[in-house]
Amino acid sequence: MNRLNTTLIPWLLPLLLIVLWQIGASSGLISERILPAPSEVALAFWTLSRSGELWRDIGVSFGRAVGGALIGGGIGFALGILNGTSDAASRLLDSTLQMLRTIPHLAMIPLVILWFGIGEEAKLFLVAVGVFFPIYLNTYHGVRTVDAGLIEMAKIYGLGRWALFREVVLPGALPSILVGLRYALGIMWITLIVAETISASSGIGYMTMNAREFLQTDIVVLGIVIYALLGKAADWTAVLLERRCLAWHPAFRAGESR
Amino acid sequence: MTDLALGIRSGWMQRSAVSPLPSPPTSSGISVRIDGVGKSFGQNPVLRGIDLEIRTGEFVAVVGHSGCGKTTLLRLLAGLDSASEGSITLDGQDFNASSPATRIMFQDARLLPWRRVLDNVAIGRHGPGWRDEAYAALARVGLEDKAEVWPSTLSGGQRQRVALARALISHPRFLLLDEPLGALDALTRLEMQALIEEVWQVERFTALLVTHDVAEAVGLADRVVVLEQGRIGAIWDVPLPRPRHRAAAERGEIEATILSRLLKRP
Repeated sequence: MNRLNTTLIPWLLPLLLIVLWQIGASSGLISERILPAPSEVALAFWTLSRSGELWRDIGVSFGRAVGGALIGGGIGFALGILNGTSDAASRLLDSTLQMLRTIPHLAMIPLVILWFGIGEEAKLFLVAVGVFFPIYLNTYHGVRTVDAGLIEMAKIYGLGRWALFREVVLPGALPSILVGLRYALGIMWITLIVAETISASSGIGYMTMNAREFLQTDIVVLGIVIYALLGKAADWTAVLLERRCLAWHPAFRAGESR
Repeated sequence: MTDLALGIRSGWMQRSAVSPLPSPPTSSGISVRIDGVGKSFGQNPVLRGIDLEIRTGEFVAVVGHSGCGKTTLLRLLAGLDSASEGSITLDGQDFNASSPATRIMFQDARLLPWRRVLDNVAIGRHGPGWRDEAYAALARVGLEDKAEVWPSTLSGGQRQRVALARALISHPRFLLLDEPLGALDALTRLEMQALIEEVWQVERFTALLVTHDVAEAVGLADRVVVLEQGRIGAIWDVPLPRPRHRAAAERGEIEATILSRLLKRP
């Protein structure tokens, strides 16, 4: 019972707000054009998911997000490892990357549209650029700050280059890399929302902007809610990864037997 | 003496028929010869004109003030740094990089926090028998029941035991101890000193212990080397029978002599 209480209590306030919102909307206190009732939003969800439109749009957005994140994150990870382990590479590349980092990637949208038009490449590119920097910086930082004593010990115990990387450097950098990942997943959704809102012919952003033209506020709100849920899901994934990969870390040990 | 008592800790022995660490040859230690060795970092000479011979299976302790160069000497012997002058030979052979016969225990245990204790002990080991070997090494230090826990759950003393097991698993011929007990509480220190002495007597490796603690040096070593500002200031033989009692009068005398030597020159 106590347990139930502690899991329920955090939900009380949101539930209350939704109830108040519903009452406000159905009593006419809140105009339909400003904020439709939660029941309207739920209804919009039902209609759109039955027609399959909603799932198609979610699928398209999800694909863009994951694709862009894989490309940008993959390159960021690779460069972070390279620059973290090689002084020569770091000297050659790091200051350039740090300079590029100061450009807000969303400021590149006009240029990106000129380069790629409003096709898929534009969105993948923007998401990839947005995800690249947090992954790169945190991988680089993680590799650089691996305990030098452990590396020295591993060398004495005869670990070769690859074993040293796999057994010491990568696990040592992992907490930092996962922080980068969590941050990157947030940026991933924000970038995608902006990109899809500005120019798209499918996806959640398109669905929302399209609905705006027809004053379908229920669909607009639904789009916002779905973005929020997808963002939350991404964050949960990162947290689960942390728990799984960092079970050795006292700070992340969840119910692990001693 | 207590060789059997060491390895046999009920639980594990019944689980497996493998004997704890196959008994090494009677004298498996390496002999060390240090000839006119000096080491400078930039313009800073840290070690100057060190001459020292360590016999096979001998236990030598190096004591001295902080910054006297004792850890540098240990790092040279481990192959972690190279000497600026002079030569080091192991078993009459020129020294090349860190040889697999040499193992080090550091002041911090340097366990991989993301590997369970057993995997830490077996680091760098290959082949089918590594699990049994690692269990045997853990059993030798009395921690076979901790094989599957994360290092972060161990106490400082237990971590150093795991580090000792990790060093022992490859039957080192030369064990370097860089103040491995410096961070432990007094009781744990005494236990660890006894354990190190027992293991050394069984395995007959050559040992070099760097320490601040004169009592520890006199308790463990055959010879105590006093380093003073990068030079060997004095060498004492400690011809006491083992196991050595803390209260033995001769032991106290040797300790007092070394201490007064150390304290005379700050």
